[in-house]
Amino acid sequence: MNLQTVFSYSLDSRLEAKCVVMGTLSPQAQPTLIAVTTANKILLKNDESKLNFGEKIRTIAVAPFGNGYDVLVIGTESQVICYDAHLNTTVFQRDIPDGINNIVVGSMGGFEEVVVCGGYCAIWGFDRAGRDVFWTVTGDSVTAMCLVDYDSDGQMELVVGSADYEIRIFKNDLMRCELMETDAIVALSALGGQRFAYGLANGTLGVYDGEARVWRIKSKHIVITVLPFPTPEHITCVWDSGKIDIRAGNSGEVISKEFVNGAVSGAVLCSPSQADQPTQLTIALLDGKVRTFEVGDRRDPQEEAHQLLREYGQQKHNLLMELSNYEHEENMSKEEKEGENRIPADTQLETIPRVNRVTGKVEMVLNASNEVPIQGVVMFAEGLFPGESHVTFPKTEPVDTITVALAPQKDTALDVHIKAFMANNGSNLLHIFEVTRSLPRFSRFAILLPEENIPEQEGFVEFKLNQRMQKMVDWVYDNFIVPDDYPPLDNEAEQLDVKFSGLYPKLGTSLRIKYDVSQQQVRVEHSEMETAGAVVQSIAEHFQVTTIESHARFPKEFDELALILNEMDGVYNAKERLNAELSESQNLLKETLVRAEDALHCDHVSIARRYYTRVKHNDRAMRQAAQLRVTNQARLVTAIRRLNKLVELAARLRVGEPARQVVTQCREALSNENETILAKLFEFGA
Amino acid sequence: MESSKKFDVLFRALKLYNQNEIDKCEEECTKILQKNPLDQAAWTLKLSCLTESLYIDELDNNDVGIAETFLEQNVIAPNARPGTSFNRPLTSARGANPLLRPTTNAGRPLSGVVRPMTTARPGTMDQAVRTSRTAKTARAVTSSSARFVRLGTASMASNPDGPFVNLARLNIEKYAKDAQVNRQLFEYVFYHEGDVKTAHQIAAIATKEAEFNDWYWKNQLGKLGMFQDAEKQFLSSLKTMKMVETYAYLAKIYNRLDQPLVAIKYYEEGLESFKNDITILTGLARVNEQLGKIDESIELYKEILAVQANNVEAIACIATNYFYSDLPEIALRYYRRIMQMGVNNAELFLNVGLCCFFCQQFDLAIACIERAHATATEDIQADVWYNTGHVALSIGDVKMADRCFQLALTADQDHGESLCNLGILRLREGKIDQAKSFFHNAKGKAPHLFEPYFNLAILANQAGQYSEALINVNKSLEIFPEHVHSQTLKRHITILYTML
Repeated sequence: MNLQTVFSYSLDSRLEAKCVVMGTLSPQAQPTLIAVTTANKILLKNDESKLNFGEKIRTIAVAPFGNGYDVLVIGTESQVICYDAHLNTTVFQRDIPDGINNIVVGSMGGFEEVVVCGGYCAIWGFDRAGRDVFWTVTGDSVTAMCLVDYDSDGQMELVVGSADYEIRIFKNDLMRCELMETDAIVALSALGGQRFAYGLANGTLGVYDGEARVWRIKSKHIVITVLPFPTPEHITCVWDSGKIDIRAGNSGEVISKEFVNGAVSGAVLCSPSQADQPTQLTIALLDGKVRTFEVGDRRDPQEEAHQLLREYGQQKHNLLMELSNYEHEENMSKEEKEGENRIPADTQLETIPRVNRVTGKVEMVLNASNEVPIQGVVMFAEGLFPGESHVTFPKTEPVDTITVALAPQKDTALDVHIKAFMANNGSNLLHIFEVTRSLPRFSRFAILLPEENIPEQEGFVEFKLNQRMQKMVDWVYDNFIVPDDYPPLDNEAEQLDVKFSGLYPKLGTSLRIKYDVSQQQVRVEHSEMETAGAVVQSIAEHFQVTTIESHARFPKEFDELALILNEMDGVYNAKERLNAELSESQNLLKETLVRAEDALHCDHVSIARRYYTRVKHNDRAMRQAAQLRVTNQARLVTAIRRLNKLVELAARLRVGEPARQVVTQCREALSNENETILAKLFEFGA
Repeated sequence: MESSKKFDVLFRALKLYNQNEIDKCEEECTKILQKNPLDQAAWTLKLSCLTESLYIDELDNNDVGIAETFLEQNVIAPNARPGTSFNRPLTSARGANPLLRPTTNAGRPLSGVVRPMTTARPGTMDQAVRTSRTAKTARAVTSSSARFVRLGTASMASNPDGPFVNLARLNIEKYAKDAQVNRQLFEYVFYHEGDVKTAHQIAAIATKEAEFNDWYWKNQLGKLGMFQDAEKQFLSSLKTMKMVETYAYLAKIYNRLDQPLVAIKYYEEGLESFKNDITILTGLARVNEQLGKIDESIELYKEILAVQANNVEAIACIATNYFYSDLPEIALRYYRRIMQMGVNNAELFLNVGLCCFFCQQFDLAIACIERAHATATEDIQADVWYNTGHVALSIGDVKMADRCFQLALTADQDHGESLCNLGILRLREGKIDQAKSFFHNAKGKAPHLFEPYFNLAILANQAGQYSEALINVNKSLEIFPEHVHSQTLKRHITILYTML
């Protein structure tokens, strides 16, 4: 199976990255390529005209909303526009002040044909009339989206990748699951069934089947898009460098490779209009060149046999090498072995996560038995280190204990894969010990002795939980680093009260968790909403609770909310005023320009010069005004993002339906400009 | 007058206002204000009076200035499919054939009434700047300046010692919040002072004060705002209260954005709530007409007449359509109806005259045309002479026709149709070079006509200059793609080319 160029042409304009789609824009037409040029125009192939939009286009998509054809959905810096190119009509237009990053169209959950737009921390869903049918919040800006039937119930779920390294799966507006990755997600595509492929900003490409990762690979290049092509069992990955591979969907094994010269803007599939035509893959490059491929099978059988023979030869060679190693070992005499300065056969590597209260960091202590020196350590963990792995060498003479300080940025459980290289000093053989050690979810907190005191916490969240004390204690042991010498927690007690102090990067904060069996009440005291939310989520996961309604108060975040709402009001007012001023000065500028042309036409050069001087002054004034607008817009966007984030955090203090309710009610309150009840919603839930 | 003295002064002023005695009302208010400068009622009433004298219907303020045409940023598709954009009306539709029905210099089929609207095929800015000076109907540079010009002069005239309200010193915040005065103040600022920025400020404060529940303020903000913002305001206004004008404004926005189909959608939505509303029906008819859907437009005008029998625009449009559909007798009846309603200007007389002429009622025709000449103002003199020339041609008086066309050119040296006809007359006399020069002149002055190109093509073809003929015939077909004779000529020339 390999790719064959069918035809290639040039669009004669430079294209924006990832703004290429294929759509049928009028009835009975062939699908055409639609791309966004760097001059911010939408280019339709086979059409002499380009479409103009006043605002910077961020993304485009097509939606089958026309009568037998597609309409364009355009996401710009501040709105989403649904435009019917056939009838030259705007189907709908909605303001989204903080802009749109991604659009997917399709059926999702109970909605037929919904346009899902991902912005910063928020996701909107519009139906074909532009009505709001869906709104929810995520943790960070949305960088990729796709629709997958993740739980095989016949309804599509929304998979959202965001810049905070997480893939979240939403069933309608309820978050079903979160998958942690190692870098910002840049591409997501559904592969049919429960499977979807993802690409990361660090060059990783992988496939999930439901919640389980099937495979992943790393590359120096970044994935632009992954397409289920040429068959459902295969995927085609298009990389930014121009590399195209066809891989097996279930193993990631490369089946065929192709190159295009130049950086890729986007790739799209064109389904055949007639049944006997093959599906075509179209790759658009940033410089406007377009190449279309079809899958062919040109390989001749003889060559295939040779290939197979070569592979077997290679395998045989490898096996023989391994065998000769063993033989060599057996043939060696005792003296020879001792001469190599080997480490004792029963040497073991011990790894202990430990809290260092002095530096305020979690440390991983590696200790080798038999006093064997550790020559170096390679640690690998997702999202723990900048990059993904960490290499340490002893600073001076190698010794048998190495301590590595860890600083988890998030409250997530981590698996740390450790490879320690051990050998006696002067030996020419290195022994590699591989250990996997898991860090509990809240490893950023150090447990305090019962007699130690922490300052009174302002923020808290309370909720009902009916569990035995034993299980609650288990949860503490599972989720926090509890040293072995810590006095054991009482399994039979009526009340649990554990105190923690924060470690780097949460140094100076403290956390207190209380549980009262008789009142069935959990109280989490902490100054930050985010971590408190993580505790709630962790408890819910641990006890398999599907709904938690809670009462919370976080003065820091609540004050921030009031501040943001206050600021937004002012910013909106300023925006309106600035826009009115803009339209006025634009009119003035246009008029001056025409008058200047007119004066030139009459050979009144001196008057024309005067007009052009005025244009220049105007220009300067408008630049200043533009600067004001930019600052204002930036403030607005920051405020909105933070607000969305706060809504998300408030939702995470609840689980299941109550969480969903909080989001929905917050949205309603915001769209009805009834901001005063937001704080109430945050505190008491919906 | 004696009895009115018993009235309270303010009551008298209100009464006068009701009776549309604006000037007297204003005087009364001034008197009250001299006695008590803080009388808000009188102050508000005076604001209303000042506004009233200058009020223009924003709905009909459709002037699109040169700047807007050439520095357009809001239109999405500059080359949309024919029939979906004002820039490319349907040329093939029945009734929109330039052979049967002449086009305006905007390239559209001639309509029954003159109305300012977007131009088709704008050409270059240079051309537009030149046309606007030479033609008698000077186009405004921008639509807002069009308003300012009118307002500016008017306000100066009405109040030579400075403005009534000093906006710079007015506590806008305070008055905009006062539901008793804010509307009058807004209208005064918007219509009388033409200060969009302050008007916007007032409206923004007022709509907030009304808790976003007042359609009036939403509509005002819509009028002031940029297109997208305006749409939002109008849609929100419709949610509060359905009003005819809101639908009309929504449609107006989309007319300006060159998305006539959306405009039609809004008009139709409006018609669902306000059946048989004249404003909406008129708007719909105009859009259809501009799209080249003449038949639909005429149907709508007939509907308007069924509701409002004295609607001049509808009568005139229907009459024009009948005239160009070769039914001058019926057109005549409609024009007579307009005349009965008290309109008597040169255009109408000329139309009646032409109808009579084509109905073979020569005696009346000549009398009407003479009346038209007697009353014609400078700006239509060229058209009157041009039509007189036509009549002359029809009765076979070539010399008279020649003179008429020349007189038309004296009145307006850019009258392309007359130039073209003069060219043909010269051709008949065998003066080919002169004819050619007339045609060249005509195509320069009136780029919307296909005739000069076609005539030039024929001339070139006869002279054996096939390449020039081909260029011209292509130009002609560009303007009027369905012109059979041009097509035939082109085919003929193409055959000659392919033979080589």
